[in-house]
Amino acid sequence: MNGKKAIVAAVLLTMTAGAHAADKACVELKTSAATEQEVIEQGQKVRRLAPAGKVLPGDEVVWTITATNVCKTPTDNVAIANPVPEQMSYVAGSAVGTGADVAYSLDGKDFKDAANLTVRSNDGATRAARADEYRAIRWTYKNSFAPGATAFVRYRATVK
Amino acid sequence: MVRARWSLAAVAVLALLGAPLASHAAGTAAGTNIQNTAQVSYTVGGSTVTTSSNTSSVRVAEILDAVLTIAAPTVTVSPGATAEELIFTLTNTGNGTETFNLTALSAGVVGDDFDPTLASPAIYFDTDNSGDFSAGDLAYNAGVNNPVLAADASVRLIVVNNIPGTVLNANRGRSQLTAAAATGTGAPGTPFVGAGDGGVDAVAGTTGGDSQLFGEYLIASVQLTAVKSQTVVDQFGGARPLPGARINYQVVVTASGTGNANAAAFSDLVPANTTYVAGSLRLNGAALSDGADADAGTLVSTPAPEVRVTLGNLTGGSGPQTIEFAVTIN
Repeated sequence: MNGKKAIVAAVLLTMTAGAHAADKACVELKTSAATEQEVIEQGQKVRRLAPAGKVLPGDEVVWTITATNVCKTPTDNVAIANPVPEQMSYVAGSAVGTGADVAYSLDGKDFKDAANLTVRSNDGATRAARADEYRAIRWTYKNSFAPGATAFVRYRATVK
Repeated sequence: MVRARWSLAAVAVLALLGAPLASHAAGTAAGTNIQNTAQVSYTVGGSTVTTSSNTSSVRVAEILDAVLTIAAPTVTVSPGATAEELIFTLTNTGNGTETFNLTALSAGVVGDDFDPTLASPAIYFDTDNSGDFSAGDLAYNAGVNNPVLAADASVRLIVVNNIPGTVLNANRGRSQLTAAAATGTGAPGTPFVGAGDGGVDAVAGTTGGDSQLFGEYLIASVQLTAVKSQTVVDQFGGARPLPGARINYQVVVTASGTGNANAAAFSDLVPANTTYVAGSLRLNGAALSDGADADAGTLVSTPAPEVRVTLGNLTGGSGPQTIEFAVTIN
């Protein structure tokens, strides 16, 4: 009996995966890393983002995630989530995303506003979580993505 | 390669424990690939879909940094001492595994009074981990056994000098050790393309990839002590201090500690109401003349009668110097 159930479940899973494959990915997501570098433009020193080459501990990396609706139908409830790489610390206040609400998580599952993230220390007291304790960031879009629409979100993190 | 495997193993263990990734004091290890993949979820046509982005990665370059510390910045020594040690510790404060070149310098370090003489060889490893220069310690041989230190690792190094015999008390002589990252050194931020661990770029860190530190040999002060005793002999065969009685003084001068007491001189006023007994001055049993002449003893009459004896250069090994003279009570 158990064996038969398992087979049914497997078939169902396959079918679900197949249905998604048929939808294709309507929202394409692209992640890129950049560092701010000082360049001379028309005789002026300016800071520009350039693709990250080498980084050193302490360096700040700008992560940019671009989402594009490649389908012919609108997509709703778009939410982008990104775990902060383990070797990096999120830079306080750096997460931006036009038209999106930003929330943070200490465990990658439970997302809250920065103001509502607290850490309980061993003595039972709670304190506000530090930015370098954020393990994931989530951007939730209020409006749907029209076909062909593109949006990007961005945050900074330093190499530990 | 062995190192890379180790760090992977460490990551796996930490992940199992749910602990955050350990990083070195100097930061994430050189050569680490920091990877990032984002997810997006959305609803389309009534179903919820989740997809991932590409994985973007950045590679951590190697920081070249070194810090030297010294166990005791000042070591007291005697003139002419040999194989005197200065104990340094070299720490790789960079984030990669680095080979270091070592050099010692004693002649020409500014700010001191004398130049110690580097022993040959001058730099040793504390092979037996005794914290001291000892027979089992291996000499550093440039290009052959340079220290190779993982990030945060340290090695104890011993610089050995001989002390010239001509130095004076309280003189200071400096000896300097330099440790430089073999990959390269330079102003902070100087790049060394492709020269780091596993072919990543290396960059001179805040220390410039090298460290320099001197230790100091201090010629220890010698101490002179004088102990005075007296015996009274009266003209009646007793020991009463009557007018006309004779007082025999004995003063023993001793040098202790290390170093030279150069041109040590003894002087003692003839006590009031007494008269010096001509020709009574002796040094270590040998009679000295009262006149200012070639021998060590002199009786100075002005402004007040005073006995003087020059003792020459004394060291702890010179032994006690016994001075004797006599007066009569007026």
